[in-house]
Amino acid sequence: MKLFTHNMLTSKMIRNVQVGYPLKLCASEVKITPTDFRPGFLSKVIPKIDWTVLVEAVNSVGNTEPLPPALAEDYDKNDDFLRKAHHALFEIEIEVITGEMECPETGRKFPIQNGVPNMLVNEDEV
Amino acid sequence: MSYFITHGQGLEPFVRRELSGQYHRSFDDLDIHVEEVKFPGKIVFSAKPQLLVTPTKKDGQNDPTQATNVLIQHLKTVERLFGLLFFESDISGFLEPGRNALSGVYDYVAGKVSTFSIILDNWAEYLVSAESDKRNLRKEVLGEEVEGADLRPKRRKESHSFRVNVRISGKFRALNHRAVTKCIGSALVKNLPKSANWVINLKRPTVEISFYLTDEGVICGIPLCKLPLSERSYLNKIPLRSTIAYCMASLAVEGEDSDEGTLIALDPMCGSSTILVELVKHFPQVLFAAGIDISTAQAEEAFLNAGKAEELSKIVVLVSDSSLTLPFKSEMSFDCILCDLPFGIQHLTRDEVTALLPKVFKNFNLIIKTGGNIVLLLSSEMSELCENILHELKVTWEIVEKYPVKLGELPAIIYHYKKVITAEPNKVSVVSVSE
Repeated sequence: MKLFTHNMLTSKMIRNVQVGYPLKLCASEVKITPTDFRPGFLSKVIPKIDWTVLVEAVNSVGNTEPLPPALAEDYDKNDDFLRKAHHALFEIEIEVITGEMECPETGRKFPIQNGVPNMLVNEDEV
Repeated sequence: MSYFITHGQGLEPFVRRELSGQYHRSFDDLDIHVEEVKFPGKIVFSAKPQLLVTPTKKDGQNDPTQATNVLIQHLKTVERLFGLLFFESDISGFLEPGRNALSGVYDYVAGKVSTFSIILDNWAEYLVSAESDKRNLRKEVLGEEVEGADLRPKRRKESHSFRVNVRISGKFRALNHRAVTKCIGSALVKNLPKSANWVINLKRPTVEISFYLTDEGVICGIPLCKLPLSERSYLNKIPLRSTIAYCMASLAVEGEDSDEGTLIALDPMCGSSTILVELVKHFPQVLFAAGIDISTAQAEEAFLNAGKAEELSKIVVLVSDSSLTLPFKSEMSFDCILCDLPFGIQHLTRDEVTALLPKVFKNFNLIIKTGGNIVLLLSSEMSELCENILHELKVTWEIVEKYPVKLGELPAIIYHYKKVITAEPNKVSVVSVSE
């Protein structure tokens, strides 16, 4: 699962959860998968991202150069910045077996299987 | 040059839009003109002659594996593309009782040959040259050695070969298919000009000649690709026909500015993500799409397909239940929703679907922006149920258009809704799609 995906996910479907965002990342293993760098695409995606959450996510997985804490001015023209964003959003793969996300309010864990996060909950949790 | 295409039932409006250039800028230069003839499931058109082989670009370089003509490269709503040889409406005379149908077919075709033999020669030359251009391109770019085949376009005196392929429908079904095929083959080989030296070759013909004998008349042409265009190179074994998925995608972005590229799409029952792949691959209006499925196996398949189609950055897949609150952060709203709803056949029973739909539609309504397109695929049988549910929910969705289609033998409908704000919720009016 990529951090791009993590950036949009919440545990709102659980009863009594107020916000459920961001989900805590529990991943002791990460894999780096190179993907095509598309600066045009990135500059449009970045406004949709919660940057603070992304920075924190990168820190929590460790083993990767930390991101600039805030959006650079004119970031859409800053190639270096875009490449860092690209790497963080699309190239860090939270690994299958050890990957999980946790609801910040209930502690409920959501597994990640074969690259796909599983947000299903039981009937009694809803 | 003249062509015809075959298309799935109900997709004619989309094919016409596609041919008019609505989906592909590259069609603007082709001067495509559609002939108004009535062959159900087929559309005849002419277009400016193009380069024999237009290499497609990959990463700015010629991609020799994809060199082909512009129509083949881009047509997405059709099944097959043919170079037209001739067509004629109403030839049923020779099926009248008392006449020998086969000799009628023979005489008919024999009589027609002179009208199309030159066009046939031209198409044969075109295909042979295209083949040799492709091989040369492969050699040049990939360094592939050509396997001893003679690459020079064949001169007139050398023989071209053909094979006949016949489809019979309507009243022509009374005839024996094999007999008709042989009969037409004979009529051709005996009447094509001797100078061209045409022979029949069942295994590796230069061209295939396809005849459609229908109640509306005869149409005949040369298939320009071995596989139907609906087979996508980037996906295989998909449950939903790619043409239907593409047509749904075209509706999801309808009315949105194509230069922006900021739309976010959702498929809340994405299965193996056929629809989303067609959407992100062919519609640059879309920034990215999220696909949800309740089945882990389906979602993993969706993830793999997104990878095969090289769109992993643009398609986000998760496992979740779309009848519950959707797991997206509040600031996220979607610009369009596409959904192939369960028909109460394969995945869920009809009762389960009836219980599910109201919750699902409520969720759609919460996350879609005003003015957003909602595109649904339903079996015809489920359509009344669906419309009733929407009516009861009082969602402010206006119907833009309903497209009856067929999924194999199953009648289905593509619904195109738009979420509006109106003083009268539930105003259902059929308006034509604004262009």
